[in-house]
Amino acid sequence: MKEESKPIIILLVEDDESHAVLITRALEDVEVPKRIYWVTDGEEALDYLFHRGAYTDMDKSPRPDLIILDLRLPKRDGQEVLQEIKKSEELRHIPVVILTNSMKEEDEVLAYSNYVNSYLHKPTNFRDFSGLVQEVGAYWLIRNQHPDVGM
Amino acid sequence: MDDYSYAYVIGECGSMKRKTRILCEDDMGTHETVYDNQHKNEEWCRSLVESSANSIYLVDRSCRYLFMNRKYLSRLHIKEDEYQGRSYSDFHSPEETQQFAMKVNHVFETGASIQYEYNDNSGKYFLKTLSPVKDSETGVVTAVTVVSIDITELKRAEKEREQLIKELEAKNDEMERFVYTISHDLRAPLVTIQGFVEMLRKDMIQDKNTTNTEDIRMYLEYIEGGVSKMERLLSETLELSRIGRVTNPLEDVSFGDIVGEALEMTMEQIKSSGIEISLAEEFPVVHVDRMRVMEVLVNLIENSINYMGEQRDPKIEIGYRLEKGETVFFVRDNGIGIDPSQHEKVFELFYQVETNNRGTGVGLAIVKRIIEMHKGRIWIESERGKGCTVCFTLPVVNTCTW
Repeated sequence: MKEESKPIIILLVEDDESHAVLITRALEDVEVPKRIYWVTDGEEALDYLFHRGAYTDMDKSPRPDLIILDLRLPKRDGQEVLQEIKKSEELRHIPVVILTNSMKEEDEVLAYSNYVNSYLHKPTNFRDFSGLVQEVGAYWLIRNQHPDVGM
Repeated sequence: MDDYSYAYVIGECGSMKRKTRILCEDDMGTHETVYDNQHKNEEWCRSLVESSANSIYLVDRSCRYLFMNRKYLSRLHIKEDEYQGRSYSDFHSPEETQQFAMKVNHVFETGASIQYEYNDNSGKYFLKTLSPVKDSETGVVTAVTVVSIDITELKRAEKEREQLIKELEAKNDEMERFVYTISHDLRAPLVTIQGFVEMLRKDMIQDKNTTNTEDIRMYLEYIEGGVSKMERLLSETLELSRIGRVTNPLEDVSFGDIVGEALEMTMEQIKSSGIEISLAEEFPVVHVDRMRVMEVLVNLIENSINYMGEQRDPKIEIGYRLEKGETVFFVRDNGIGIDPSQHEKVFELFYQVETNNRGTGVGLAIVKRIIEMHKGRIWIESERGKGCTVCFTLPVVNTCTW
């Protein structure tokens, strides 16, 4: 169990603003203190994670406990971001959940060969959508045991 | 013998010693005549062989011709008295002769018939059947009968069929992808709409007295955004489906003229973005649906403008090059470029390198569809940060002016 005082950090990589708002809102219902950081493209995600560009200030880009990643992203796509994360010794322990519109099997295969922790399709119905996001939150933020590596 | 309408040959034609019965039908009834004359028998056999539409001939072990029918004579362009003493190699290439000799040898060795397909240098296909002629007493093979059937037409039809099946399969795959994409991507805005309607309702229940108008306005904007995205997707999908159905007649037109028209259509955007345009000095004449090709160019030019990035000295170049005997047209810019991993994806329906409110991801799918309708190909040559070149081929009219 996480300590009450320390909020859980979630990095949300999602280029569709309306979906980002919906995901954030659904996560709010998961009862655990958390802060959600939202970036809109692959490059920004990597900048955040590696403290580059606009994210050199470590306080403004705390290491996430969970990364929710879309696949179809501007600049660098989700698979590239995933690859970089899992290549990095510092970052590879962070659970990465892909939440995507893509139903292509090849995307799925590639994601797993890039060591994704979970791969989910965005449901096309809102109730399922927010239900799924809440489940993801509950599972990874509350149920799943995870040592706080690097904290 | 003119008065009979049907004749049946009964008995084995090949065996010279047997009697042959002939039934003749005429107004008076059926008459039977029996021939036991060997000479007559041979005549029938010869008639059968000579009237065949297939080439029939006999060769000995060294592929020398022992006999050939009229059909084969005419195929070799010789007269009846000219084949004596000549062999297969006199009329065929060394490779053909070698292949044939091997087969003949095989029949001599095994005493069994074989069948194989063969195509000569003129592109004709034949089905050859080689059968042994055996000595009736010793059973030793003394010659080989060859029956050669022209199957060129059959082969052509077969090829055409395969090609058609391939095309149909490709069409079917495309159709499946299309239906899948439509059903999937068209629902994405619905999630947004449904989601924010739900959130409005929730907020109203929780927040009975204080209605946060700022939030409500935001939700409504997302809902409207979803609706208009849906609208655009639908109308562009309709447009895409029109390309295959509604076609203008193809015409011979200078590619340069079409470029000129496309530039006129996009002039305002070009000017306001301060883009420098450079064109090839002259262009080939193409045989195309002029309006559609202009649509291609407008689309590509607009893409170049939209993905120019922070380029201070924006340029678009439209030209062509000759590559392996093929004319390759291109639209090149010095904008942000496209990562090689996305070169094929960008042509997929609803795929967007960047999710923004400008596009729907249908533009390049339409472009590709138009080029393919002209039996052309389209591809991208680009690297991230190094500009983008979209290349495509179109049917060029051969006008040799030099």
